[in-house]
Amino acid sequence: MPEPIQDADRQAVVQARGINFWFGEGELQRQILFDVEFAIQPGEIVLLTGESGSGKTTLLTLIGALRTLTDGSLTVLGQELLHANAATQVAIRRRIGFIFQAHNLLPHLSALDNARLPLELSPEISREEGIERASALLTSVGVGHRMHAFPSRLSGGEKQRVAVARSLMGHPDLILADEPTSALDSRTGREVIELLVHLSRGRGVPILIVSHDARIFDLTDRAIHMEDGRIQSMASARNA
Amino acid sequence: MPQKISLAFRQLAHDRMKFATAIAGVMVAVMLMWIQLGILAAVYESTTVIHRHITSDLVVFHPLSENMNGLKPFSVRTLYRVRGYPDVTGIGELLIGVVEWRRPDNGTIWKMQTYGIEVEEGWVDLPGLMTDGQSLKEADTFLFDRNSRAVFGPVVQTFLGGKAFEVELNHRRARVVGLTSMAASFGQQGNIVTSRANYLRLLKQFSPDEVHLGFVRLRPGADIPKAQAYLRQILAPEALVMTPQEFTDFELLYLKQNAPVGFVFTMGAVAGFFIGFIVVYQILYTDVTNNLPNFATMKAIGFTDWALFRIVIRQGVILSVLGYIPGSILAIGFYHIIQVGTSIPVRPTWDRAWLLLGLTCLMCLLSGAMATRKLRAADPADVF
Repeated sequence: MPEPIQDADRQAVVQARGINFWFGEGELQRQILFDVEFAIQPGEIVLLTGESGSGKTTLLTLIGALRTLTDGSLTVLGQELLHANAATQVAIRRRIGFIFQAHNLLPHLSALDNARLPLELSPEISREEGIERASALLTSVGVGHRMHAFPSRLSGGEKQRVAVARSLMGHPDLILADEPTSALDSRTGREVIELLVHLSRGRGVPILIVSHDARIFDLTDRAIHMEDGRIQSMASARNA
Repeated sequence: MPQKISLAFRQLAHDRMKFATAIAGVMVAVMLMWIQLGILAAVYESTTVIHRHITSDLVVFHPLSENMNGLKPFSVRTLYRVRGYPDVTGIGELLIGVVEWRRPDNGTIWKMQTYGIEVEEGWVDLPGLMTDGQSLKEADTFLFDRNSRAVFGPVVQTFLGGKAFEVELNHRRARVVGLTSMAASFGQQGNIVTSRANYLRLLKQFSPDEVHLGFVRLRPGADIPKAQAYLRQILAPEALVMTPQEFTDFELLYLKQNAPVGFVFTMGAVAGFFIGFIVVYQILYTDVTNNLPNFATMKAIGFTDWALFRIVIRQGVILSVLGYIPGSILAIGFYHIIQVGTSIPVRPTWDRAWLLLGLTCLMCLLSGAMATRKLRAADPADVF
């Protein structure tokens, strides 16, 4: 039974309490998450680390309303996601900016169109306004000169910068980034994270970054370390 | 939700080779449907060309007749009995038969459909009948159907060139005195119209006391259904009485139920539909499958299943339109070739154009709807 939400936690962008999650059914059922509890406060930039198979990506998909939570309590942007229906999940996803490990740009769209893709979900924004916003955002992430190029013509770093622009396009209330630097060399990876952090801080948008890369720890506010589906430690970068 | 980015088109056109193949597939299907339905309509039209030009109020024919070409002769005396009904103001006869046409230039012999009619009574208002029909009072004359196939020789050119065209019909010399306009069909290569007297000269074996089709004219304002009911009663069981429209429907029903032509061409059109359906389905299904990670990404971003469904459906509509336009243009070209080569009146109509646009859209929408089943496999959680 989840504990009552404390006053301080009421402000949290993400509030997880007693989350358990399983894959499979019957004899093949395997528990991935065990009694996970943590919170992300507004404007906070959190690094979620852990070995492969530790459950961090599964946790990320639950926070992103990409899977349905069946045990525990998970409040994201004020919405309880336990047993959330499809409409609720879609509504939450639209308030989140996603950055994927493999950038996941649509190959048939230019960098500009990829960046403004989330605006397809905002009918009140005109095409012209969308192009203007996307152009400005691409310029701010340093790929303004490549906005008409298709993903196949972009370098790994450029693709991830476009992905960053896409994640910010819909003015999200939360950004979830899954291994955003794994396909990049260390210098480019750090540049992308610096950029993401810089833009997010400017907008007051909290970020949860899942990464193996401990070298970006200093760019975040704190780190959560997971092992075998459990949160093992939480450390503040400022105190590190 | 209005789309600011044409996601459907971009995704479809990204692989230009596949896009061109898909359009070509729809184009072929559209063309096939146009041609099959066009020929079918032309067969119906050419078979009922006389029916649609009958001006009488009622027609009378032998009850065992199955269609126009199979009209069995019945006694003229039976026809004359309709005069007993007070509203009848006139009766006429149509005789139908086949004569042998021996080409004067090369001696080849061809079967020619022959109609015998008292032209001046105006029972049938075929083009040229009222203007050139008076000449049929002369013995051994006839009007030639300008839409007959070329196998009969340069009849039209010779006649229009002011020269006499004489030919041997059933071993009897006869000459063209005018032109009419009917149509060739699968059954007949050509037609001639002559007077009743000339018909009896050409087909000597036919009894002058018999008739194939009787025409009945009523006084203006007469109650046609009432007259029809009465005449049916007094002529039964020796003859049937129908209005010209009923007679046309009777002919078409025979074609649809008994002649393979209707079935064959309808099946051809259905085959065209399914070819298009399978081509579009295959293209869209492959497209959805290849783009599953992209669809999953879009779901993760916040696109609903319905929004993705509409992208695939839009792709179907795009293929419909882009395949329909060139397919229709090519089909109209083929219509011209068929008409020139066979004299079968294959003509495009707006009704058919709309019908085929609807069928093409239906074909592509069904394919798209089937292909969208694959969309369910796009799991947004898989993109992580």
